[in-house]
Amino acid sequence: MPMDESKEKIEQLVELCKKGQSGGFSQLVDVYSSRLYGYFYRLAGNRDDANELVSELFLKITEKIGSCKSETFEPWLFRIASNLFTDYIRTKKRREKMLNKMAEQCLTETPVEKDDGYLTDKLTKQMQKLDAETAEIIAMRFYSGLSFEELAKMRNEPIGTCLSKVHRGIKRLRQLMENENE
Amino acid sequence: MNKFKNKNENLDSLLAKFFSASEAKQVKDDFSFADGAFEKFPAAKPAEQTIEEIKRKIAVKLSTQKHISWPRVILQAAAVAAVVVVAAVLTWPDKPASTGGSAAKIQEQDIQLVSETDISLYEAEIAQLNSELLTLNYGEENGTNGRLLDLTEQVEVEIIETDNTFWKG
Repeated sequence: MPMDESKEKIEQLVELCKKGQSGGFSQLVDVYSSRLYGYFYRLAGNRDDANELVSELFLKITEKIGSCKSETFEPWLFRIASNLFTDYIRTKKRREKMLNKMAEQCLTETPVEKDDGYLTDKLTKQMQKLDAETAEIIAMRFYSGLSFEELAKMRNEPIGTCLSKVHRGIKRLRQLMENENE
Repeated sequence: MNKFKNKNENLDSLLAKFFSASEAKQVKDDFSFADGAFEKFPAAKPAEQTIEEIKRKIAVKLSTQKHISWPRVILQAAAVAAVVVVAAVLTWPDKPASTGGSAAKIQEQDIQLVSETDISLYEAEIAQLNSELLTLNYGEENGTNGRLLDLTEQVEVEIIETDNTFWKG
């Protein structure tokens, strides 16, 4: 699993990337694409958007790698992922608002066809019911592998607040999943 | 393996700081449930095609960045050269011919390498640039004022002419 990649190896890869070597980036993609895809997939709830977000993220990294300290690469990487997801949510809300207005104007209700990209598992489905911030912090904790201290630092909030947010979110998620079973 | 229990942190001591013993036990239990759920329903993985596409896009982006960097380098070099020329123009007449120290020695060695004709050409060029700069500095103010004076005189003449025509009828 990528999380087991040694810190030294990641630091070496980041240094390669800073020199503009595409080989370094390719290896970073191999190491992190699954975790980042999982993070986006849980939050977006469909494969198409997860694909798009992962792709966009790596291109952003290519641009910004110069500003990253190799020893804190993971918090830096997931910070960018988090920002990207926030932007995605904003755009999605705008799009939904626009579509709702259009639907009101048309006065017709057509069910949204869901293709394979929308076939989500039970966990992802229930995570969609949480508010975006709670879902995000849970996915972040799981896929980034960051400690609560690192997570709190990244979110610029006290560690106790961060811990309590993650726990409240998981408790709610547990309720939702257990209720679905009943 | 992804886990809510990070291997680099002591979750027990962390929970003890913020929760009572019974609460901490409940939190740990909820975290274990989350671990189980994430393991039971693993997220989809990106398709091989997606990964290859990302790598291809990165390679394209990197090559574009490399192409863009050349004009930037040229621009930067030009900017530095311009600063050096301006600094030389502004400081040349004030500087003593020779100063002590290694910097002065290096300068002398450099000067020896350049032929006399070249030096005179450079000097003439620098003098010209200097005079142009001075002209610009002074000329901008004088020019504007001069033009303004001309305009004022012109308007005054026109007023007198109009005045005379009016009284003559």
